[in-house]
Amino acid sequence: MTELLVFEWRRLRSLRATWVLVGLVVGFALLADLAVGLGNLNQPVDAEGVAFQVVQRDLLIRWLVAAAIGAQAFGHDFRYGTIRPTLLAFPRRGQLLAGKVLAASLLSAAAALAASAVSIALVLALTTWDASLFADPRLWRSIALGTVTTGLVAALAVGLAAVARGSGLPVVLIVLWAGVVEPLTVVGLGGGAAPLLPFLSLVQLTAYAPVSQDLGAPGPLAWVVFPLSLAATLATARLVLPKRDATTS
Amino acid sequence: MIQARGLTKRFGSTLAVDDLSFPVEPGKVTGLLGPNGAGKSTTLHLMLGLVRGGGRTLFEGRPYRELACPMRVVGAMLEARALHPRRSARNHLRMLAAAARVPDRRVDQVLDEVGLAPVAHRRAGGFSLGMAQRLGLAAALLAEPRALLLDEPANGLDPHGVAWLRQLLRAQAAHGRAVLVSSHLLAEMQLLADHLLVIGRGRLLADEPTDRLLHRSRRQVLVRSPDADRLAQLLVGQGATVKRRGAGELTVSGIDTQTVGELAHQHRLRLYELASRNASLEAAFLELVDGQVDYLQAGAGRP
Repeated sequence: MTELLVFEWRRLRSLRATWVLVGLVVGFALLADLAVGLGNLNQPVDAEGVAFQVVQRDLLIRWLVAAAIGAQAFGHDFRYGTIRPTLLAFPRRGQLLAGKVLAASLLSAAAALAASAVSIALVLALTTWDASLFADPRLWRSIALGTVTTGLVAALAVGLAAVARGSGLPVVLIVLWAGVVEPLTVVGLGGGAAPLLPFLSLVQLTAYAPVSQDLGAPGPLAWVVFPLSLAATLATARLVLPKRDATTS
Repeated sequence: MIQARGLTKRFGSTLAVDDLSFPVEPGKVTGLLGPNGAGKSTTLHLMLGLVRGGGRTLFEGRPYRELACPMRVVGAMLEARALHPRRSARNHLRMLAAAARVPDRRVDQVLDEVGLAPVAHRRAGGFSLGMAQRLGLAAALLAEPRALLLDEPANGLDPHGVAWLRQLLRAQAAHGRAVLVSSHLLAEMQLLADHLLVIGRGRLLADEPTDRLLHRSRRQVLVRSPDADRLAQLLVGQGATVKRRGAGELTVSGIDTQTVGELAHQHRLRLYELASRNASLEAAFLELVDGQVDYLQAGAGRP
């Protein structure tokens, strides 16, 4: 598995698209914090405000980038025919899937964490704050879950790309599902439906407080809905990958 | 040692590879020869488990997917353009080097071996077909594998490149490696391969040393005569094998030109043409694949 992770890291690292996507996450956080911070220069900020700026505000952007990074893991291979050299290097397809999931998730989570670190630094530099906010476990929980959920979205995109054999469709599916289908479902059925919806359940989990997202408190279901969707997607990919010829999309 | 057994692949109703079994011995260059669409590439893909189908191929006694470090056992080049166009040649190889646990200095060494050192940092998308082939070869050679499987490696190479490739593959075989090369370039195969596997419409038509295949064609005699039917009967009576090549034309094997001429003279049969066919792989190949070609323009395929 170490060879596979180094292989994937070198694959990702040697593509400009990877750095553009990571730069997008960090750059967006930087610009948004500068704009907000300069507008509220030296205004007091509490832990909930920090959690909003550092995690919630950019969550969809981070997930979108994570989806793109994850989708490229297989998408590029099928698009450019590099799936053949990849499979010659790692012929066990289940292992290859696992390696790509791990690499894309780690990179996406690292990008989210870097963006959070930049945000915290800027928020603290531009606002007035009390040291006690760092003692608030809900702030750290929000940051940690924001990072983990970004990695999970990347993993979902890897699985979808393995099934779709391309990178476009998985990103479109995730954007449509997270950005259109789920919000419309909540509009129709009310906030109580959120824990049953994969992406909104993640939004609930990452929230500093339930009220901050108007979605209600995350029940126990919120912890399992997305992981179950992810497990089903990866199981399908695991089943489908070995049954297909290594042809380009 | 590579041993392929019962390789079979069907695309819909088309049987692309039909129960192929053959060994590829170490220390030899084995040529996989066949016309376009004969199933050469599909055979290589099947051997490496890249396409699903029947049969199995054992590399040193194990299927490819069960090898602990496959790139150290088999180096394969299946498609020169299987590269990300925006990745440099060196980065492409460094990525593969990680898979084979090969140090970066070997990457630079193999780039030098294939003549790509000056363009190592250039994006592979800008490479000519010949350069992409060299990069594909570099990838195959990277982990110094004990066997090589190369699909049409001479495609896109200039004459110097083809000569270089021939030398390289001969040297690999001389080091005891098993080398399997698919090609439709007959003249090149005649110079390169020690042993030939000829396939047509997915079926194995010949599995024999190149010399023997050449020898087979050496005995062929071309005859053009208005009395071809009568002459054919007489030749068959003498133990020759006769194939009709069109109106009044025969290809005769198992007998020499002198015997054919004397037989015709004895029976007062007219001959318009009597010639022995040059010893060439092309002649042997065309004889073998006659009727086994899927994509053929009108009037082609006749020697």
